Amino acid sequence: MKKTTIANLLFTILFISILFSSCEKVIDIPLQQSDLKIVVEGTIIDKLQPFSIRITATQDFFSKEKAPVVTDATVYIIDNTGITDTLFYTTDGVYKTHTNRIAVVGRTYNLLILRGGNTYTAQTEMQPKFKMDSLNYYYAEANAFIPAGFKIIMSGQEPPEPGNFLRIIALKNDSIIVDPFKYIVYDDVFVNGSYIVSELPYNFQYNDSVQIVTLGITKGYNNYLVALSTQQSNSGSPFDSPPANPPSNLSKGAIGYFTAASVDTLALRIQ
Amino acid sequence: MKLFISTLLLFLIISFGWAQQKYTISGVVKDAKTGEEIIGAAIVIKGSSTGVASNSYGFYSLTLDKGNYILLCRSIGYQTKELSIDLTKNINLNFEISDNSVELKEVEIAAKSKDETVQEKRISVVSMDIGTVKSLPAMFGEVDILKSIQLMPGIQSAGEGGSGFNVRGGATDQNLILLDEAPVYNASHLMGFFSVFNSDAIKDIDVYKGGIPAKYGGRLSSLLDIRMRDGNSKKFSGSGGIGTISSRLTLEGPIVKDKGSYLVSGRRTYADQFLRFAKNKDLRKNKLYFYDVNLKANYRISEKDKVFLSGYFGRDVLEFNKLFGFDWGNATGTFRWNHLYGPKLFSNITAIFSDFSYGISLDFSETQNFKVTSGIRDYGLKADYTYYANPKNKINFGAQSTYHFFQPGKVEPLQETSIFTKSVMPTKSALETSGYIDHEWDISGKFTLRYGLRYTNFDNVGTSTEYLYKSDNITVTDTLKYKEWEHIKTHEGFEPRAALSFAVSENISIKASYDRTYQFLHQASNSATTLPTDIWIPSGLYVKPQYSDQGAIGYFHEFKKGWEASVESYYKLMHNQIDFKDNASLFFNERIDRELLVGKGWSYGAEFLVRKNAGKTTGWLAYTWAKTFRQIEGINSGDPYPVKNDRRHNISIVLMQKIKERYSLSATWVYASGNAVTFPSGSYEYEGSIIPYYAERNGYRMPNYHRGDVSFTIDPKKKADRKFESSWNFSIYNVYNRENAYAIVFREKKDKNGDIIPNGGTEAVQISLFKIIPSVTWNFKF
Repeated sequence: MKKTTIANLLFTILFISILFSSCEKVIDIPLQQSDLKIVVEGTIIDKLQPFSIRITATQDFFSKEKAPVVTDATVYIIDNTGITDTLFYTTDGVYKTHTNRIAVVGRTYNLLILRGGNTYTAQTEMQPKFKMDSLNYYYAEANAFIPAGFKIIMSGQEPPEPGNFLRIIALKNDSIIVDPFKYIVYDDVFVNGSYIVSELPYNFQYNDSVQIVTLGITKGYNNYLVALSTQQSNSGSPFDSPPANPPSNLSKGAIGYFTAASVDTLALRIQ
Repeated sequence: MKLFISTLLLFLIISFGWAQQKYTISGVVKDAKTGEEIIGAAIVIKGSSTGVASNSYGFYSLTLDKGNYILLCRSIGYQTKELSIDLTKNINLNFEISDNSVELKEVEIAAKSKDETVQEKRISVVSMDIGTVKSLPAMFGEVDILKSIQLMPGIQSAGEGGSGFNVRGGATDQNLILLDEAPVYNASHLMGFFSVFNSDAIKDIDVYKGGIPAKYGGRLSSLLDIRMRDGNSKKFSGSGGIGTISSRLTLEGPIVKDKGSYLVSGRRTYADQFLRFAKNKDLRKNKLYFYDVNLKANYRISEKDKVFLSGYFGRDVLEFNKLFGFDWGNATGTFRWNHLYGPKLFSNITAIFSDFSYGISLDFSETQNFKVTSGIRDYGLKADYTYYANPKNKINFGAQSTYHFFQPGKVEPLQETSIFTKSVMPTKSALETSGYIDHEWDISGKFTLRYGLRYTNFDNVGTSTEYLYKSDNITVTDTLKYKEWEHIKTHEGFEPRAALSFAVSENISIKASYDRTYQFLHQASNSATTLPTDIWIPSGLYVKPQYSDQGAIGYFHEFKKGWEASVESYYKLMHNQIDFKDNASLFFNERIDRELLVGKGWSYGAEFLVRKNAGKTTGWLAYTWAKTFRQIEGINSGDPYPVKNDRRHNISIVLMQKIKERYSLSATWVYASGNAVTFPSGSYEYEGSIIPYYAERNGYRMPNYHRGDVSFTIDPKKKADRKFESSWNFSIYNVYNRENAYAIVFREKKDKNGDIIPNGGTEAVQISLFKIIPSVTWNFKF
């Protein structure tokens, strides 16, 4: 065989190898059914509005129905100064206080849910705020990770004490962006006390209205979101972590998370 | 323990009670063509079973009564050599034996010498001939010893295409992998798809699944002892190959003829070189390759002294568009000095160096850039002695000390403008010191006993930072800083070992063994396979050493025409097994011991092997039935659960067929029942997403796995004085294109673009990795 034919053969084989490797297909797998668990979603913030939480239940994994809602629970939020608020059922599993409330930095809040003879509790502490100084934007060409578009740069002072956790939510034209990453959290372990100038992993187009919300959250909620996003990013690669339920702060096997967060919001329009 | 030591002394006294006037024949066994020393060659007196096997350095020593003898020297694939001697004084006798491929018209592929299994005194040992390894079909044509040994019973693959392996229910970090006596901490390339061992540089492979001699310690479930070739001491020669994804070249030759030789062997993959031709500009800047370099040199200073220098260096490099870089690799080195204190006492002093490190760098922008580095490094010294008392008694003893240094992690900014500050996790250090003695005793010709004791002391020393915790085990109450070499904590362990072999008849033997093994280093791994980022954690203030007790019994039967069969069964109890809490955070976690949970594990099984070692058709059929469980407080509500690698059935069939003088065909087929796996038992909604809900650990099974591979080799025409020879190997991995499940992912339904369909429900998706892979390799030697 001549050198050229050897080279051709190698090329062809390599090409075939790449072509054939890795594929996915939808399969049928019978799954067992577990007992019903209640699921709590609730974030109370330092803005004057009713305290609100949502209670749903687990269902069959392959069920095509929307999550079943829990309508018959009794719900209280009690802070460490003894203030007790009752939350009343409204609609779609959501329970709200009748009046506007505000969560105060430094206070501890307890959630109490009575339902079907069970008492579920959760506790959270209101964390300091990450205050943004400014939002800027610039146009970036496409790179290997992100397509071309406007990038947002957020600036602000990271609080001096270690152990701060930050969640970021971005809104484009008033709707929450879930792509490419649904849960974006930062912890200050490598950047404690630094003045942060950070490019956010979103992509905007000309004339978009942009709103960036920062939430100062607890380490527990940070860990919950990290676990949730790790689980959601499991794609069958060797890097996957073993499947596990994210670490809830609710008692008695209830799932979900109850948290308090201090919020800061800045907005701009790209022009 | 006292009882064990006094029994040991008693046995020693009994077995040496009849000392008489005798003479010793000693020397080395070498390959006549290359001068390469031969491991495990048998030197026996013709017409009797009295004899000895050459050790890892080709050395043997045989003490006999005065008289005339005919000695036979034989080894796998070599012509038996006969020598008559008149023993009236101590004799130095070196054997040079020729491989039988030159003379025989029809080459017999004898994977083992004829009567080896039954006469072999060891239990639970798998010896793989490098020739067998090279003739098996391989993925991408990359000959891989770690994948070849997975075809033997009791050794199972940790994952599709992977070089990680589990021995008798053990974890992948419980295998002691030694390359010329140096431990290799991460034996895989490219996320485990290739092993770090370049088969061109390897001489000998032994895997101990049990019955591990007292000489070795430090890992719980197995010993993989790999010896590098010494290099041709007669003339300069070379060999190499060009394959589908990599090329290899080995050069070797004498330093001084018949006194010393060297070997240099290298391998590099070049898949990324093809990226240069990619249309996409961004793709061209990516890197993805690995390379290995093996070096060895030896020199015989005198009849009594020989020195060896061996080194290995290998690295994987992955770079994505200058934005993301990831590299990792091992470096090992050993310097050995063989010395003979007279003809009966062989000694080997070894200085050992081993290093594993990885680095990850991210360079997204002027402000967002950093590099993380982590590693483990060993410096060791050991002395091993073998006293060849007489043909019935051999004593091995020695001591070893290793200084382990752990750098769990270091973050540094790449540019001054980075918002990331320098941060270093406290380093850890430990001194592991052990001593052993073991006695190989041929009691009656029918009974052979090998028993021994190993003792290991493991000292955590500074420089380090340790934490004291409240009773919740999370809140830090005090931080303790230790100075260099300052004592922190000591762990120790006694490891009794014993193996008994009973020859029922010439063709049948029964063997039994008991081992206790200790392991003081633990690998933190949370992923589906072994990754370079899995870090090693030493035993210390909070992490106890693992230890295991294994009992095994086996029946070995040899038939005519090269057929043999064996059954082995084992039970193993493993203590202080570690697993991670759910959602453990391992990356750059200074207090990783907070994420660990401790419990026990147990494993039992039966291994069947039918093998044909001679003739035009050779091969084997292996079947393993096994069960492995763990019980750890805090996992699976404290109930026992099967470990991930718990696999009930494993079958492998290997066939090697010589078609004509120049053509050979080999085929393998493997079948494995599914691994234990955690699947969801429900789902719930959180912030608009559907999230799976898990009820128990490893409560489901993956689908069964099976795969067939074939390869075809064309050897060069045999010509007497041909200097350059080349051969072709064509192989097909997964020949019937089976889509085996590598992973099953549960997710919300996605559309063709990969976006989640709102309210579309959920689905289970099977990921398959390797479908049919043809490959071709051209090998040459001169």
